[in-house]
Order: sequence, then C-alpha cells, then structure tokens
Amino acid sequence: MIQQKSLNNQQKLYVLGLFLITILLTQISLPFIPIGSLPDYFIAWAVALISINNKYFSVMKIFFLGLVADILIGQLIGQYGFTFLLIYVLHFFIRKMLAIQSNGQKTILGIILVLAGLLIDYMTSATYEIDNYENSALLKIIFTIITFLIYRLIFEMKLKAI
Amino acid sequence: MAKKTAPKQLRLFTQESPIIIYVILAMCSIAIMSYDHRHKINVQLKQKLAFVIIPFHWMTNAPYQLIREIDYYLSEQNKLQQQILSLKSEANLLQANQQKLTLIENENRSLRKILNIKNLIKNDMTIAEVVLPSQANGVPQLFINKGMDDGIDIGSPVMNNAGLVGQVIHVNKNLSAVQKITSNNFAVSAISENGTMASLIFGNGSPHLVIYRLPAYEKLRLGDHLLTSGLDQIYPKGIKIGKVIKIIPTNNSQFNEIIIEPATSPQSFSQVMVIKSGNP
Repeated sequence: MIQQKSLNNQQKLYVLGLFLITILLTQISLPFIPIGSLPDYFIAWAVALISINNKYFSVMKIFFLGLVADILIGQLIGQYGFTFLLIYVLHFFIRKMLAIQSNGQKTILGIILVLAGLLIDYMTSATYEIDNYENSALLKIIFTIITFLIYRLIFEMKLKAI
Repeated sequence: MAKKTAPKQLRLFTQESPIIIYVILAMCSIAIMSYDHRHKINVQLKQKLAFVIIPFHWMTNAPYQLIREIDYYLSEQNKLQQQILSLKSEANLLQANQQKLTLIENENRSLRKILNIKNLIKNDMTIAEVVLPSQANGVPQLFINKGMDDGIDIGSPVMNNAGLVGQVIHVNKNLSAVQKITSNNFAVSAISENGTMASLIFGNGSPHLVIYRLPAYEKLRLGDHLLTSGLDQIYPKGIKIGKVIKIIPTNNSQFNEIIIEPATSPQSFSQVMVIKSGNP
C-alpha cells in the first residue's frame, strides 16, 4: 500500500489557502481575454498539487476537494471530483510505468495531465455553449498550462521549503 | 549451471495498487453526476451553501464598486447637474406616456372583461442591478442583486428597456442567477409583430436565436421583429425578443431555418426588470 506522507499544519493551510484563492479566481474575468478562453484554474491547481507528489494528498482528499469545488462553483456535482480522480489515476499509472525524474519530464507530464483534465471536463460538461468552446479552446488550453506552471512553481517553493 | 530467475513483472503490478478504490470512486462520481443531472441537487445545495460563496462574490464586486464610487465622487458637478436635468425631462416625458398607457390599459382590461378573456399581462416588476461575477469558471453567467426577499422566484422573466433578457434559474436570499435567452435549452413562444406568425424560438449557446423549422408559407421577412406571444404563460405578451437577420432554406423545401438577432445583448444593460411570478 502507498505510504502516506503527512503534511504539517502550515503546508495544509497553504494548500487550502490556494484552493480558496482558486475559487476567487474562477469568479474574476480578466481583461482582453474572452470568457470562454479563461483558464480552468481548478484543473491547473489539481495537476500542480498531484504532480508535486501524490503521496502528500491521498486520492480521497483530492476527490473530496473536487466535490467541494463542484458544490461551490461547478455545474454538476461530481464533475470535478471525477476529473481530479482521473488525473490522479493517470498520474499514478504513468509514474508507475515510466521513470520520470528530470524537471522537463515532470513538466511534460503535467501538461499531459492538464490536457487530459480539460478533455474530461469537456466530455462531462452539461452545457455545451457553442461560443464557449469552438473559438477559444486552444487559448483556454494555453492559459490553463501557464496557470498550471505558476501553481507548480508556488507549490514547489512552498511545500518543499516549509 | 544456469541461475533460475523469477519471471519479470511490470512495476505496476509488483505493489499493492489501490485500483479498487479508484474504480469505486469513479463509479461514485458518475452516479452522483447522473443523479444531479436528473434531480438538480446542485441547485438546492448551492442555495443552502450560498453563505459560503457570497463572500467570494463580494470580493469580486468590491474593486468594481470602489472604482464606481471614486468615479462618482470625481465627476464634475456641472456634468452631474446636466445629467439630472436631462433625466428630469425624460422622466416628465415618460410620465406623460404613462398616463396614456394607463388609460389604454384600463380600456383593455374592461374590454377583456366584456369579452371574458383572461388577463395574461403581468405588471408587477422589480428593478435589479446586474452584478459580478459575469462568469464562473469560464462559463458566462448573469447575476442580479435581487432575490427571494424581493419576491423573485425561479422562472421569473427578466427584461430591460430593449427587450427580453432571460429567465431566473437560481434564487438566493439577495441574489439570483439569470439564464440568458441565448443560452442552450432556452425556448420562448413568439409571434411576429403583425401577429400572423407564431412559433417557438430557441437559444443554442451562440449569440443568436433560432427557429429551427418554420413552415415556408409563413410570411416572415428579414428585419421583422418578433415578440413574446404570452402563450407559454411565463413571459407576458408583447416583450421584444429580436429581429430576423437570416432565413436559411433547409433540406426539406417546406421549412426554413430562421436566425434572429436578440434585442438585448449582455453588454447593453446594467439594470434589468424582473417580472414577479404568480402575478395575474
């Protein structure tokens, strides 16, 4: 069985703080970026957290946080829970089968997970708004990857430093 | 003598992996999604947990409110006085028109009474302001600052001076979410301005509205305005919906597809009027 490394209180607070900031970010429109192209902050947050070290947070915790996100800002309960779960599982299997050690490899794995997360999110979406995904899907992917890299940087600096 | 070695296994299967947990959780989430899609428990939960999300809404609105207030204080007094004057004259004009309308309304009511026609026109309205956030997680949405306390119910029609805006879909204590007419799954019963054509108009997520199959014999021309018919008993009769901008022939020569430009666009309003439900 996987050994769970526990985070200290300060680190837990940090992760939850970022979760709350993510909820706030999802409510804010950015200038010059169409609404449909805004990054999916929750997927970026989840991938960054999972790809740092999935031993810190168990799958149950990730799934539960996904459900909380669904209840607070989601369209359908279970959508983010399902997305986070599949990202976690994908990360688990890729890490089991491939030796991912360098920073570049980890970044590419993160980008793959972001793409998978967005794909799952689209597939489980209950509202297919034409102007929401047709024109701006590429921009959304790019912005989500950038957001993921920022989150990862923050997690790397804080979770490993504290 | 050759050394015996154990058959090599993939790393994945050498440890006890929590695949069962993953499968159970995946099935749980699919079940929850299906149940929510059918029974809309998300809406009820969101209403009960509104107190959690309200601070986030407040934080989103705070900078915008602050800028608006600063702008108000910094505005020149002359400019404000001019605005007041023009608003006063506009109000006088509207009051004069209102008198005429009251007369016509009374006349209409008495005629309906004589002809024994049920009065479908709903008049009790409340004015609401559009508030942020204008999107949640990349999905456009419309929030107004009035809720249950102001007599708004789920299903209340929302309009502004230009025309129909949409329908209230979630109501909290002091906040409501409005489904725009251009949203997916939105439908409204409509008639043409001259009353010769009646049909259902649909939103499909694009900026335009559509009538999917209108019989080709219906005399609808480009630029014709469409109004709510009142037949659905949700939207009062006579609210402007939009105008015809394209008539597309379909594979079946007996039908045309009609594209309609909505009378209102999300950028065109900061205030809306909500028609209270249950109002005869």
